[in-house]
Amino acid sequence: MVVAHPTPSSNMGSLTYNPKKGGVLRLANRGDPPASFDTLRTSSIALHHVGGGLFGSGNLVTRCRENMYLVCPYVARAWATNNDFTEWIFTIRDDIQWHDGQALVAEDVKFWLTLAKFGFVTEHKSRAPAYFRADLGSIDSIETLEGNRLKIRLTERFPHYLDSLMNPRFKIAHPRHLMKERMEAGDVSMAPLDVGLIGTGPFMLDNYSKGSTISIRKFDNYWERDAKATNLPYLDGIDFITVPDPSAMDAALRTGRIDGGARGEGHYLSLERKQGYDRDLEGNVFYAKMQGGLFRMAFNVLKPGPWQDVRVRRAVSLYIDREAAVPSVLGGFGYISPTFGPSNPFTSSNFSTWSKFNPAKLLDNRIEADKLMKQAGYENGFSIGYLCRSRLVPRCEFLHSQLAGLNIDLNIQIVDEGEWNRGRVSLDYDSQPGAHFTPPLPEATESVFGVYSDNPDAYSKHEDKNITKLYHSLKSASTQAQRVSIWKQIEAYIVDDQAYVVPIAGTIQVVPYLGHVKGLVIPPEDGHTHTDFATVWLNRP
Amino acid sequence: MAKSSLSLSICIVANAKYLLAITNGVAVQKYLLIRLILFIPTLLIASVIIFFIMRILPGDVVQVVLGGTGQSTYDSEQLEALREELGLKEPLVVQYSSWIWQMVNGSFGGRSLEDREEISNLLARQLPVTLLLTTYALLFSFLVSLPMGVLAASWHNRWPDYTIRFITISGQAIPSLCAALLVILLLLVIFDWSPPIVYTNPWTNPWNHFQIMIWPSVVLGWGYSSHLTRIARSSMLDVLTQDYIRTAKGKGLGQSSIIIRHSLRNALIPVFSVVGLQIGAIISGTVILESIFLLPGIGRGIVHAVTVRDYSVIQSLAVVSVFLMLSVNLLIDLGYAILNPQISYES
Repeated sequence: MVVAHPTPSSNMGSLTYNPKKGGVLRLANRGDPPASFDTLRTSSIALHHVGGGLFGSGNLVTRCRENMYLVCPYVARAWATNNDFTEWIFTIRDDIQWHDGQALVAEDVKFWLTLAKFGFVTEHKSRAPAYFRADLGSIDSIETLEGNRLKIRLTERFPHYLDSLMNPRFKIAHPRHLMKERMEAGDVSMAPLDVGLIGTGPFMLDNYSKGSTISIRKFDNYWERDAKATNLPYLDGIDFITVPDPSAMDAALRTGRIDGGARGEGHYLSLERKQGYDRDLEGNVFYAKMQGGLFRMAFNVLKPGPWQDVRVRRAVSLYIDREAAVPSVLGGFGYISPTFGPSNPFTSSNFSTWSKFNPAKLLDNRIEADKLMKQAGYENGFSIGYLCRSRLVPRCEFLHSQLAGLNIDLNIQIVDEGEWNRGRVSLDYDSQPGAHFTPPLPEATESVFGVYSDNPDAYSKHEDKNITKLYHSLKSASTQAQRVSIWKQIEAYIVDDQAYVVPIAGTIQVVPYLGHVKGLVIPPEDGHTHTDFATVWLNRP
Repeated sequence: MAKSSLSLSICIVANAKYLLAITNGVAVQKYLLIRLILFIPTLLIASVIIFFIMRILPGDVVQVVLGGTGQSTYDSEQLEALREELGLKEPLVVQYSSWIWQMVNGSFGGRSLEDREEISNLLARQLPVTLLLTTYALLFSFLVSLPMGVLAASWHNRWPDYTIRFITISGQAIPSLCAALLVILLLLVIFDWSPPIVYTNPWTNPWNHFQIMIWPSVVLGWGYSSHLTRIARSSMLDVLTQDYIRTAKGKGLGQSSIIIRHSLRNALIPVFSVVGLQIGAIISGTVILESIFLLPGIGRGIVHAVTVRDYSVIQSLAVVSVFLMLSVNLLIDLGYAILNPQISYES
């Protein structure tokens, strides 16, 4: 048995401020958390913005506050693995309590993990496993050991298991002592809201007025402490105000009715809206800027059409003016990248010199694109459908106007969220933008870049087994250098060589906060990260 | 002789009125009963249409819940498992029967598929908000539109008429979405103020309730009252050209007396019938305004339910809306008799 990762002493070590205690933070939330706050059911930011405070920022492990790309201990204080990375043993902290005073033990984590991976089956009813069950690895068994320890045995080696586990969406929100008996009695669909949102996070539920507010208040027995051994959280509480309309949020924040904005597409600020804040609040406002998902075009190669020809796909990729997308459809905040945000350690630092990503060569690229279309026999263009989410129509129009230069008639098929969620996993559409976001981790991208038969939610629908092989190698890689190297091969193959996916530009998610909000941990990407607000304090005059 | 014949005439008229009242009373009861019985097939037909329209729409609640906001990936096995769990794999007839049974047994369609909340709870929370908003908007409309309609008709083609025409045409032309955003922006820019963001009931915090409800009521009422004002104006103009009004003028009655005592009641009949027809429009107007002014009402609830394909909630709320519409129309039909006693319910 070897220790796979050192246990950091504290993830609060670099904090040097002297926080004021008390006060209630008021934040906008874009809607009521769906699925009765069930973190096993949905990744909606409307849930996870609130869920961090209630259920904590992670599970066994979490993303570190200083560097979200590193693994930090959370419910587990230490861990160890065997030589082939198929057995993982976690030692659970002894000082964690559920909000109702019950101690959290290894059995609780086992219950949650089993529920997530395998669902729940009774004689007559069954509960579906979590949507993220694939990210939990190919679990063979979960058992508790003496000394409040938990052993997870995997059927395949998974050296970077902790990286996969630290996803902030995988929150422990299902208390065994309140749910197990009721599930066994047949209520298999029960959700956290059914048991009063009892979690282990820094805040506990005070009041939930559906459609209006979710008030959470400091949990006095929360286990985490800062570098000076002061109990977290600093705040007395947080009121999340449901504000589905972005303009109402702007008005409320600019008049001081709330202290911070909501997270989520539509609520993130555009340059124009940000200027309104700057003008009205004159320096008494700051912005959390986080790299978000990519705007892209991905082809359904399994459906007959000109896009089955790799030359056509490459032509499309070469022709698009990526820089123009940022001001015109990404609200003025964006970046150009093939997959992850620029700050991600797996992002190829030289991608901007790739022919398709080099803005200085746009003219040459377009000439090349015309040649490729001619070679493929489509110099007069063709028509292609594009699945377009109704909330993102400007992006579709941008793409339409760009591709018109190649004589490609982009048939924009506007759909609402219901059809979007169905259509994107089907073979009904010629092309689509793909799901908005993947965890910033190479292994996790197989679900969106892999073959359709195993990954129906993949952006591009293809059956390229070469990609499966590459991902297999990636998941077996033992060292970080190997991971980076294999990931670069995968990325170059999908984006550059085969152009199954045409990345256009990434969004930067901008959330406004009033100047008196201090201690906020702002992740460089993925707005689901660090939503526990345990280190936030208020410096109201 | 003349005196006795006059007494006889009075007696006959009085008896006739008494008989008419009795006959009309019985007729009203019969009419009411028939209309109430007709509610049942109407609601059933509406429920079938709503149920199957929802099933025709692409996508389902399971895909929306698992798909989150497009930030999670899932596979078909999970989809099927969750569909099974929520009973969506049952035959449509079974699903419909189960839902309709839950509608009539007092649980208003059971639970939300998205978050398992009991629909009766959801209704108890959302319906009062929408009813209050609708009531305020209606009150505002009546208080504004009738005097404005009368004023415009009385000052026909003069400056008050032109001013009222400008206000009402703007009210009809500007979508409530734009008007609402404009109101928020103007309050922010001019007064550096925005409406409260947390809804409270009038009995818990009347001042907060007033501040949050006044603006959507005015915006909703503006569009609605514009239409009513136009109808009231035309109707009043029509009545003012009738012979009996000319006779009244000839007898030397004052303008206010002519309008209030002799014209208004007749002019109100078309206004009243438009109220019934437009009540649906005012309820649908709440959909957008509730989102913008952060009111947790039924309109916002329906929009959310449609977005996530929460079949049981949409079906139940839609049936409740149909029931409300039928009830309001019935009340309006009954109200005609008050405005015009000549209207009979015999047929």
